[in-house]
Amino acid sequence: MPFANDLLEQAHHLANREPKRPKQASLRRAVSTAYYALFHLLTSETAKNWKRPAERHTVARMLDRLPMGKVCTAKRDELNGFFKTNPPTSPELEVLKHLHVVAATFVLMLQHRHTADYNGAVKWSRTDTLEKIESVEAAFQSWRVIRDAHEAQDFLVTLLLKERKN
Amino acid sequence: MGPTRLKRGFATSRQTSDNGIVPIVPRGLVDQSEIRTAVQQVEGDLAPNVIRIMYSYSLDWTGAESLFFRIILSDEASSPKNLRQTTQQIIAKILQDINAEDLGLQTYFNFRSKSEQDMLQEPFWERP
Repeated sequence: MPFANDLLEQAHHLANREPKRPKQASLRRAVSTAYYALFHLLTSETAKNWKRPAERHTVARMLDRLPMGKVCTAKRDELNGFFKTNPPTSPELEVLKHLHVVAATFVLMLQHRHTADYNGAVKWSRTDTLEKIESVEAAFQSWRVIRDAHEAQDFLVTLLLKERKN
Repeated sequence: MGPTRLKRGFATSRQTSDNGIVPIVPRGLVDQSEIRTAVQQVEGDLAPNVIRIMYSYSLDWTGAESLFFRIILSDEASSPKNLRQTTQQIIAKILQDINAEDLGLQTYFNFRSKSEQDMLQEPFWERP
Protein backbone atom coordinates (compact mmCIF):
# COMPACT_ATOMS: atom_id res chain seq x y z
CA MET A 1 0.00 0.00 0.00
CA PRO A 2 2.77 2.48 -0.79
CA PHE A 3 0.45 4.86 -2.67
CA ALA A 4 -2.00 5.05 0.25
CA ASN A 5 0.90 5.63 2.64
CA ASP A 6 2.26 8.36 0.38
CA LEU A 7 -1.12 10.07 0.36
CA LEU A 8 -1.23 10.00 4.14
CA GLU A 9 2.25 11.48 4.33
CA GLN A 10 1.17 14.14 1.85
CA ALA A 11 -1.85 14.99 4.01
CA HIS A 12 0.51 15.60 6.92
CA HIS A 13 2.73 17.73 4.73
CA LEU A 14 -0.20 19.89 3.62
CA ALA A 15 -1.54 20.29 7.15
CA ASN A 16 1.81 21.57 8.35
CA ARG A 17 2.82 23.45 5.22
CA GLU A 18 2.37 26.95 6.65
CA PRO A 19 3.70 26.90 10.22
CA LYS A 20 1.96 30.06 11.47
CA ARG A 21 -1.12 30.82 9.43
CA PRO A 22 -2.24 27.75 7.54
CA LYS A 23 -3.97 28.42 4.25
CA GLN A 24 -7.48 27.06 3.89
CA ALA A 25 -6.42 25.53 0.58
CA SER A 26 -3.72 23.51 2.35
CA LEU A 27 -6.01 22.35 5.15
CA ARG A 28 -8.88 21.43 2.86
CA ARG A 29 -6.60 19.49 0.55
CA ALA A 30 -5.07 17.79 3.58
CA VAL A 31 -8.47 16.53 4.76
CA SER A 32 -9.40 15.41 1.28
CA THR A 33 -6.06 13.67 0.81
CA ALA A 34 -6.41 11.86 4.13
CA TYR A 35 -9.77 10.53 2.95
CA TYR A 36 -8.26 9.39 -0.33
CA ALA A 37 -5.47 7.67 1.55
CA LEU A 38 -8.02 5.48 3.29
CA PHE A 39 -10.01 5.01 0.09
CA HIS A 40 -6.89 3.80 -1.73
CA LEU A 41 -5.86 1.60 1.17
CA LEU A 42 -9.16 -0.27 0.92
CA THR A 43 -9.27 -0.42 -2.86
CA SER A 44 -5.68 -1.60 -3.19
CA GLU A 45 -6.14 -4.22 -0.49
CA THR A 46 -9.25 -5.46 -2.28
CA ALA A 47 -7.51 -5.54 -5.64
CA LYS A 48 -4.57 -7.48 -4.23
CA ASN A 49 -6.82 -10.49 -4.02
CA TRP A 50 -7.04 -10.57 -7.79
CA LYS A 51 -4.61 -13.25 -8.90
CA ARG A 52 -3.20 -11.47 -11.96
CA PRO A 53 -1.29 -8.28 -11.02
CA ALA A 54 -1.80 -6.69 -14.43
CA GLU A 55 -5.55 -6.31 -13.85
CA ARG A 56 -5.46 -5.13 -10.26
CA HIS A 57 -5.75 -1.46 -11.14
CA THR A 58 -8.89 -2.25 -13.10
CA VAL A 59 -10.31 -4.20 -10.18
CA ALA A 60 -9.59 -1.26 -7.89
CA ARG A 61 -11.53 1.01 -10.23
CA MET A 62 -14.63 -1.11 -9.67
CA LEU A 63 -14.86 0.27 -6.16
CA ASP A 64 -17.07 3.29 -5.74
CA ARG A 65 -17.27 5.49 -2.67
CA LEU A 66 -21.08 5.45 -2.46
CA PRO A 67 -21.56 1.70 -2.15
CA MET A 68 -18.41 1.55 -0.03
CA GLY A 69 -19.92 4.12 2.30
CA LYS A 70 -23.12 2.12 2.59
CA VAL A 71 -21.24 -1.09 3.32
CA CYS A 72 -19.06 0.65 5.92
CA THR A 73 -22.11 2.23 7.58
CA ALA A 74 -23.85 -1.13 7.73
CA LYS A 75 -20.73 -2.83 9.12
CA ARG A 76 -20.24 -0.09 11.72
CA ASP A 77 -23.85 -0.32 12.87
CA GLU A 78 -23.78 -4.12 12.89
CA LEU A 79 -20.65 -4.10 15.04
CA ASN A 80 -22.06 -1.43 17.36
CA GLY A 81 -25.02 -3.73 17.96
CA PHE A 82 -22.74 -6.69 18.56
CA PHE A 83 -20.54 -4.79 21.02
CA LYS A 84 -23.64 -3.85 23.03
CA THR A 85 -24.16 -7.54 23.78
CA ASN A 86 -20.93 -7.44 25.83
CA PRO A 87 -19.21 -10.32 24.02
CA PRO A 88 -16.40 -12.03 25.94
CA THR A 89 -12.83 -10.93 25.29
CA SER A 90 -11.24 -12.95 22.52
CA PRO A 91 -8.87 -12.53 19.59
CA GLU A 92 -11.92 -12.47 17.30
CA LEU A 93 -13.38 -9.58 19.26
CA GLU A 94 -10.14 -7.65 18.87
CA VAL A 95 -10.32 -8.16 15.11
CA LEU A 96 -13.87 -6.83 15.08
CA LYS A 97 -12.87 -3.77 17.12
CA HIS A 98 -10.16 -2.95 14.61
CA LEU A 99 -12.57 -3.53 11.74
CA HIS A 100 -15.00 -1.14 13.41
CA VAL A 101 -12.29 1.53 13.49
CA VAL A 102 -11.70 1.11 9.75
CA ALA A 103 -15.39 1.13 8.75
CA ALA A 104 -16.39 3.97 11.08
CA THR A 105 -13.46 6.13 10.01
CA PHE A 106 -14.32 5.67 6.35
CA VAL A 107 -17.91 6.81 6.98
CA LEU A 108 -16.76 9.91 8.87
CA MET A 109 -14.09 10.80 6.36
CA LEU A 110 -16.56 10.62 3.50
CA GLN A 111 -18.46 13.48 5.12
CA HIS A 112 -15.35 15.47 6.01
CA ARG A 113 -13.95 15.06 2.52
CA HIS A 114 -17.26 16.23 1.08
CA THR A 115 -17.16 19.33 3.28
CA ALA A 116 -13.51 20.01 2.52
CA ASP A 117 -13.95 19.66 -1.23
CA TYR A 118 -17.29 21.37 -1.75
CA ASN A 119 -18.13 23.69 1.11
CA GLY A 120 -16.03 26.82 0.98
CA ALA A 121 -18.00 28.40 3.82
CA VAL A 122 -16.43 26.09 6.36
CA LYS A 123 -13.14 27.25 7.81
CA TRP A 124 -10.81 24.47 8.83
CA SER A 125 -8.34 24.72 11.66
CA ARG A 126 -5.04 22.88 11.81
CA THR A 127 -6.21 21.14 14.98
CA ASP A 128 -9.27 19.76 13.20
CA THR A 129 -7.28 18.80 10.13
CA LEU A 130 -4.69 16.94 12.17
CA GLU A 131 -7.44 15.19 14.11
CA LYS A 132 -8.90 13.89 10.84
CA ILE A 133 -5.47 12.77 9.61
CA GLU A 134 -4.75 11.01 12.90
CA SER A 135 -8.06 9.19 12.70
CA VAL A 136 -7.04 7.86 9.28
CA GLU A 137 -3.65 6.87 10.67
CA ALA A 138 -5.43 4.91 13.38
CA ALA A 139 -7.51 3.19 10.71
CA PHE A 140 -4.31 2.30 8.83
CA GLN A 141 -2.84 0.83 12.02
CA SER A 142 -5.99 -1.17 12.69
CA TRP A 143 -5.98 -2.50 9.15
CA ARG A 144 -2.36 -3.64 9.45
CA VAL A 145 -3.35 -5.69 12.49
CA ILE A 146 -6.31 -7.44 10.89
CA ARG A 147 -5.59 -7.50 7.15
CA ASP A 148 -5.16 -11.28 7.03
CA ALA A 149 -8.10 -12.09 9.27
CA HIS A 150 -11.14 -13.75 7.75
CA GLU A 151 -13.50 -10.97 8.89
CA ALA A 152 -11.29 -8.35 7.29
CA GLN A 153 -11.08 -10.17 3.99
CA ASP A 154 -14.81 -10.79 4.00
CA PHE A 155 -15.31 -7.07 4.58
CA LEU A 156 -13.16 -6.24 1.55
CA VAL A 157 -15.28 -8.40 -0.73
CA THR A 158 -18.47 -6.70 0.46
CA LEU A 159 -17.01 -3.35 -0.64
CA LEU A 160 -17.59 -4.50 -4.20
CA LEU A 161 -21.30 -5.01 -3.61
CA LYS A 162 -23.70 -2.41 -4.86
CA GLU A 163 -26.32 -3.32 -2.29
CA ARG A 164 -25.96 -4.06 1.38
CA LYS A 165 -24.99 -7.65 2.06
CA ASN A 166 -27.65 -9.38 4.16
CA MET B 1 -47.08 24.01 9.97
CA GLY B 2 -45.33 20.66 9.84
CA PRO B 3 -41.80 19.93 10.93
CA THR B 4 -39.05 21.67 9.01
CA ARG B 5 -36.93 19.75 6.57
CA LEU B 6 -33.24 19.85 7.28
CA LYS B 7 -30.85 21.32 4.79
CA ARG B 8 -28.37 18.94 3.26
CA GLY B 9 -24.71 19.30 3.99
CA PHE B 10 -22.48 20.51 6.75
CA ALA B 11 -24.09 23.16 8.91
CA THR B 12 -22.11 26.30 8.23
CA SER B 13 -24.23 28.84 10.01
CA ARG B 14 -27.03 29.01 12.51
CA GLN B 15 -29.72 27.41 10.44
CA THR B 16 -33.22 28.57 11.22
CA SER B 17 -36.65 27.83 9.90
CA ASP B 18 -38.46 30.26 7.63
CA ASN B 19 -39.49 32.52 10.48
CA GLY B 20 -35.79 33.13 11.07
CA ILE B 21 -35.93 32.43 14.77
CA VAL B 22 -36.71 28.83 15.55
CA PRO B 23 -33.74 26.51 15.07
CA ILE B 24 -34.10 23.70 12.56
CA VAL B 25 -34.69 20.42 14.32
CA PRO B 26 -34.84 16.84 13.12
CA ARG B 27 -38.10 15.43 11.91
CA GLY B 28 -37.90 12.41 14.20
CA LEU B 29 -38.92 12.22 17.79
CA VAL B 30 -35.75 13.56 19.34
CA ASP B 31 -35.79 14.85 22.87
CA GLN B 32 -33.73 17.97 22.29
CA SER B 33 -33.69 19.02 25.92
CA GLU B 34 -32.19 15.64 26.78
CA ILE B 35 -29.43 16.13 24.22
CA ARG B 36 -28.82 19.69 25.36
CA THR B 37 -28.57 18.62 29.00
CA ALA B 38 -26.25 15.73 28.16
CA VAL B 39 -23.96 17.96 26.12
CA GLN B 40 -23.80 20.56 28.89
CA GLN B 41 -22.97 17.79 31.34
CA VAL B 42 -20.16 16.49 29.12
CA GLU B 43 -18.82 20.01 28.69
CA GLY B 44 -18.62 20.40 32.46
CA ASP B 45 -17.18 16.94 33.03
CA LEU B 46 -14.38 17.43 30.50
CA ALA B 47 -13.38 20.94 31.54
CA PRO B 48 -10.76 22.40 31.42
CA ASN B 49 -9.73 20.38 28.32
CA VAL B 50 -13.05 21.25 26.72
CA ILE B 51 -13.94 24.91 26.65
CA ARG B 52 -17.14 24.82 24.66
CA ILE B 53 -19.33 22.24 22.91
CA MET B 54 -21.88 23.37 20.36
CA TYR B 55 -23.92 21.41 17.89
CA SER B 56 -26.33 21.76 15.00
CA TYR B 57 -28.83 19.46 13.36
CA SER B 58 -28.39 19.06 9.65
CA LEU B 59 -28.41 16.47 6.90
CA ASP B 60 -25.11 14.90 6.02
CA TRP B 61 -24.01 14.44 2.43
CA THR B 62 -26.02 11.22 2.13
CA GLY B 63 -29.17 12.94 3.38
CA ALA B 64 -29.07 11.31 6.82
CA GLU B 65 -30.21 13.37 9.80
CA SER B 66 -27.11 14.23 11.73
CA LEU B 67 -25.67 16.06 14.68
CA PHE B 68 -22.63 18.16 13.84
CA PHE B 69 -20.58 18.99 16.93
CA ARG B 70 -18.21 21.94 17.14
CA ILE B 71 -15.84 21.62 20.04
CA ILE B 72 -13.32 24.16 21.28
CA LEU B 73 -10.40 22.66 23.15
CA SER B 74 -7.87 24.25 25.43
CA ASP B 75 -4.52 24.84 23.77
CA GLU B 76 -2.93 22.23 26.02
CA ALA B 77 -5.54 19.59 25.17
CA SER B 78 -5.18 20.27 21.45
CA SER B 79 -1.38 20.08 21.39
CA PRO B 80 -0.10 17.41 19.00
CA LYS B 81 0.91 15.05 21.78
CA ASN B 82 -2.52 15.19 23.42
CA LEU B 83 -4.86 15.69 20.48
CA ARG B 84 -5.77 12.12 19.62
CA GLN B 85 -6.34 11.03 23.19
CA THR B 86 -8.34 14.13 24.01
CA THR B 87 -10.64 13.93 21.00
CA GLN B 88 -11.22 10.20 21.37
CA GLN B 89 -12.21 10.70 24.99
CA ILE B 90 -14.62 13.49 24.09
CA ILE B 91 -16.22 11.63 21.20
CA ALA B 92 -16.69 8.48 23.27
CA LYS B 93 -18.28 10.37 26.15
CA ILE B 94 -20.66 12.35 23.96
CA LEU B 95 -21.76 9.27 22.03
CA GLN B 96 -22.34 7.39 25.24
CA ASP B 97 -24.20 10.17 27.00
CA ILE B 98 -26.51 11.32 24.22
CA ASN B 99 -27.27 7.87 22.78
CA ALA B 100 -27.15 9.30 19.29
CA GLU B 101 -27.23 5.88 17.69
CA ASP B 102 -30.46 4.97 19.45
CA LEU B 103 -31.92 8.27 18.27
CA GLY B 104 -31.08 7.35 14.69
CA LEU B 105 -28.73 10.28 14.24
CA GLN B 106 -25.33 10.27 12.57
CA THR B 107 -22.70 12.24 14.46
CA TYR B 108 -19.78 14.28 13.18
CA PHE B 109 -17.18 16.14 15.19
CA ASN B 110 -15.04 19.15 14.41
CA PHE B 111 -12.47 20.62 16.74
CA ARG B 112 -10.41 23.73 17.11
CA SER B 113 -8.20 25.16 19.80
CA LYS B 114 -9.00 28.28 21.77
CA SER B 115 -6.14 30.11 20.08
CA GLU B 116 -7.44 29.15 16.65
CA GLN B 117 -10.93 30.39 17.47
CA ASP B 118 -9.48 33.61 18.88
CA MET B 119 -7.76 34.11 15.55
CA LEU B 120 -10.60 32.98 13.27
CA GLN B 121 -13.32 34.62 15.38
CA GLU B 122 -16.15 32.75 13.74
CA PRO B 123 -19.52 33.58 15.37
CA PHE B 124 -20.76 30.10 14.48
CA TRP B 125 -18.27 28.74 17.02
CA GLU B 126 -19.37 31.18 19.73
CA ARG B 127 -22.41 30.95 21.94
CA PRO B 128 -25.19 33.28 20.82
